[in-house]
Amino acid sequence: MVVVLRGHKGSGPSVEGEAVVSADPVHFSTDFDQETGIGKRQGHALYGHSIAGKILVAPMPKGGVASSVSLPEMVKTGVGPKAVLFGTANPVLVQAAILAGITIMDRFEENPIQAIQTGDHLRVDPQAGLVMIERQAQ
Amino acid sequence: MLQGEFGEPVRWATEFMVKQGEFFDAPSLVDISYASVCDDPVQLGKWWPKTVMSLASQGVKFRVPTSTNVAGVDFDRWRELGVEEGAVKEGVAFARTIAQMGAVATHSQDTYLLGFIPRLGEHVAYTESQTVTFVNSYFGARSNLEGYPGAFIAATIGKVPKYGFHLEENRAGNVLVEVRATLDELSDWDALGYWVGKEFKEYGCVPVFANLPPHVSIDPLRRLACALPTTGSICFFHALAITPEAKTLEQATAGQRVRQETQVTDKALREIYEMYGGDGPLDLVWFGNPPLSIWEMMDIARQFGGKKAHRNVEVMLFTSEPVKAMADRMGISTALQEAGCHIYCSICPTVIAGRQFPARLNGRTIVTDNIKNCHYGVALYSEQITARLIFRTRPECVRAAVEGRL
Repeated sequence: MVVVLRGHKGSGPSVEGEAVVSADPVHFSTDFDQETGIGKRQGHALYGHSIAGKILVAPMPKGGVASSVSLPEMVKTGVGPKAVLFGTANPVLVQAAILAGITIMDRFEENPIQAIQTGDHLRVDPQAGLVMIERQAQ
Repeated sequence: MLQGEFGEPVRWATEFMVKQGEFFDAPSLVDISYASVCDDPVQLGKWWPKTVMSLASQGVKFRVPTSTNVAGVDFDRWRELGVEEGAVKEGVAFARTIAQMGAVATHSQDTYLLGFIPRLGEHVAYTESQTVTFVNSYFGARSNLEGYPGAFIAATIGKVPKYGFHLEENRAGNVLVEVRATLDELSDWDALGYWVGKEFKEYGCVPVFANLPPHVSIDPLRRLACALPTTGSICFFHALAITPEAKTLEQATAGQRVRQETQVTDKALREIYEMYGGDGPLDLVWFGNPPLSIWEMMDIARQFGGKKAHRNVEVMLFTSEPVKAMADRMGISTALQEAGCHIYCSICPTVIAGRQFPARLNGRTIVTDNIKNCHYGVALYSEQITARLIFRTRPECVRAAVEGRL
């Protein structure tokens, strides 16, 4: 089954990969272990889940400016996501994704954390503003 | 600029701005008057300081007046705080590089108290949420909340993409906050901002405060600007008949209906004091966050009024170097020291470099009249430590310091 999710034109290269969906807003510096990319905040939707090499889907970023350096740092040390999809992004996270060289999209026609499930295979085309969601039959 | 005719760093910086602008549908880039940069390597990780050093070695300079954010070390009194010499050397070397690129070593969030004073309508690129909120609101300058690299890169080319709060249409107030609470103490303004920031978390949310005392001075508004973005993403407020883009409700809301209206009562403020409530013996008192202004230093000295802090209580004051220099000259620092207060500059108690300082806080009770200190407490230190933070008014903090208990 393939579903198409349309959003605002994003930034970065076209990529494909496995989705990891967070129901909670994310803060890269304090929600994830900086050495492993595994969720470390108890009670957070991604506690114990790795975002390394995945396509992270979340409602929005949270927290101040620390993510502007921690996201690029995680990507450059190989434990960051390969793309980030938000309901609504903010300037700090957009700048961080551009500097990290990863793909970022937001402002989708449907709520991405409902449209996408953890484990879905995604193909993200930020220039066209499209995400193809491929889901294995249950 | 995108063709590389001004060199690779300018091409790289411009490409970054254009990509960001495309994401947010910015119609153009806009010239900025000021920027602020972080020169504290502890907060910057490894990759970004390395990039900065490389840009510096290629001769990159800041093209607009640029200030520095709060640092990780007090450059004179780091030993007292248990900061390791290695961390100090690293911090000093990195700060020197940033200064050589043209930044002014303000080491404060309150750069508008130190000569960085944007006019109404001027565009700036600032990174600290309290500073962004203050200049957007109090001066009517225009800033988004920039990331550390974002503001640095903006400073090197003097431009940012024109989106968010740089655009007139995004500056209209959209939530009306009727203030029915009594605001007697500075910390009441912290409680007001914290309460509103908890209710309305979105970056695009611009509260309009109605019924604030019209002759309010700068210190209460600094507290409000510091507390508002602490729990969410608000970076801009209007205060009716006080801030320059809010002479009338019509002007503040650009004539549009607000999304929501709310009232803040004394009960709401009490909720915030109760969130960080507590009593009994205490170990530390923290004053400052935002950094103490000279008026606050004078007020704390007056409140001690010759009394001394209890021997079991360590009283720490956090300010900027220029404010400390004035306090020294005025005899205020001596009076405070005689009362048992320790004055530190350029730092914020929630992000001090080194391992010894956070270790000293473990298991302690800390009383403060700054809500941001309560909110972060010791959570920003990587060590697994705990501390109890209690939020009280300044007179209660001073009394607790003297008596050794709440």
